[in-house]
Amino acid sequence: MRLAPLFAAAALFALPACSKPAATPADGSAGMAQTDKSDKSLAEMLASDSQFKALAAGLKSTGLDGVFSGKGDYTLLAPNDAAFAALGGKAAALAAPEQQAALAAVLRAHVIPGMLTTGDIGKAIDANEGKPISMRTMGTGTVSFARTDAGFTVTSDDGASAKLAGAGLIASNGGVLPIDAVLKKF
Amino acid sequence: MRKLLSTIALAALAATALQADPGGGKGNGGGNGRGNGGGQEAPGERGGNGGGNGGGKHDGGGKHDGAGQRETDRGAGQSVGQAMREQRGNGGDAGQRGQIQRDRMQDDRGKANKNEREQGHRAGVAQGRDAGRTEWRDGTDQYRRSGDDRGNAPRSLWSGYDARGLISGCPPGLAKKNNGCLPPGQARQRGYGNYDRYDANWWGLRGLNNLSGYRYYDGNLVRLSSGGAISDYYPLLGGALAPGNPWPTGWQPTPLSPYYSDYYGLGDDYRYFDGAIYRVDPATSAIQTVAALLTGDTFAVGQRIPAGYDAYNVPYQYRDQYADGPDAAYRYNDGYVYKTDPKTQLILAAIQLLS
Repeated sequence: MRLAPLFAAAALFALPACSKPAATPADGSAGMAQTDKSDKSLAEMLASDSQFKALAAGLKSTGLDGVFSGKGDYTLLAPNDAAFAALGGKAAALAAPEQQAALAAVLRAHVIPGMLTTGDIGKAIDANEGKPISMRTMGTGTVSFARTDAGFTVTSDDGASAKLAGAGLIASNGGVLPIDAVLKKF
Repeated sequence: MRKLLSTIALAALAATALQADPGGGKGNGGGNGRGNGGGQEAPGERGGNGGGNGGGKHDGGGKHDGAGQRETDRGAGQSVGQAMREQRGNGGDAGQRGQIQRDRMQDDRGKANKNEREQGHRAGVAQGRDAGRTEWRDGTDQYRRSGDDRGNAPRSLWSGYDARGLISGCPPGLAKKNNGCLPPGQARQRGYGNYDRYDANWWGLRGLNNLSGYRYYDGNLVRLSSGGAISDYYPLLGGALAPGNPWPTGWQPTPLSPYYSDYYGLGDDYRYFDGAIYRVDPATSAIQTVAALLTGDTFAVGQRIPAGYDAYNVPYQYRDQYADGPDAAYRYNDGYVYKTDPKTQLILAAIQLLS
């Protein structure tokens, strides 16, 4: 499946399409609380969400959609379409058929084992006296979550950083944390 | 690329498949008293203790709860919850030990499972001592890491794992061209896709530590000879290892522990390679799906939890049962929930999740 048209289309989504915000949670993650649990799998949830067209296409073209329709639980740090659109030609190049292995490498660095919610992140930061906390990814490294006045940021080992953008989603086999940038430099 | 590769008959790869056995023996009656102690270290490996476990016992009447979890709570220093096969310190010739012990462990696993079935339990507590090594195994004893670096070791420190390295030879698709394994000129001119400047860490690989001088070509990392021909290669997730492509025939099936098969719903025919589990069509050996991703992180009961698990991440359906409290914190990884001491960060138990 060719992604270039979808990445180009993602440019149309210049404004992040945030899911409906939930009530302000006690951990300060205003506007980023989780939605109610869905019966959909992660793959189904992403495929049906208009803000993740590019991501869903990337998962499908690399075969990683099978991971997120399976029984294992994962949390996907999900770059929205605006995040891919901001990469311009780099995203299109990454989407080329001969570069699917590179795309898979980028995407696996956005996957965290188990289910992680904004509430979990907030509690962990609180327990760490307000300092950033670290979570393993399915790449070879970790990502670091930090609290800001506007919510949470997440930063990868290579320094790529994103903001959590909108409410988290809970699927039958994990969670989705929308982010506004791609968390891997390439 | 995928279309191209789908037409390729992958054959005669030099590497055999990884004998990945995540959780092999974890609660499967793994402590079997078989350990001889004083296991032999392979040449060139870092010092490990190699001690046999001995005295392991399977308590089929152990904990059983409504969710069907199986808790493994073994002695300090044990390694659990990793995509590895456990080695229990047998000595013997290193060249033959792999096959022999693999057979033994498979036998043991089968026995334990049988016992559990007979007793009507899916849950039990396996107890025992295992100060021994943990190994990735492929029948060549190459993927060993010693007991010393378990627990907190990030994957980048896994000794011996880079011994897997590149596969000698020509990627099967290019080999069919019978051109001396010279990549097409266009590929050379395009700098092999512009991704050859990244290291193995960028690719998310565990099997290529400290590798240099490779390039990216057609879904593989490749190394070039001085004449520009490909001399070695390493297939990549989403590239050569993507749905629709044939599984390299030179890689033998890689049986995981029954627990992993159950947990991830793998079915009957699947393969493990470098952090990913693939379902394979038994008739054609074509990759059907990428079924699961694994961190491969090592969790050892009695050791500190590895870095990167600062936040509670237990799957939704188990949150009521394994909620953090003053006396216990729970973390999830690769199909297991780990009970830890909130104060010391020491791992207290590994819990299998079967429902």
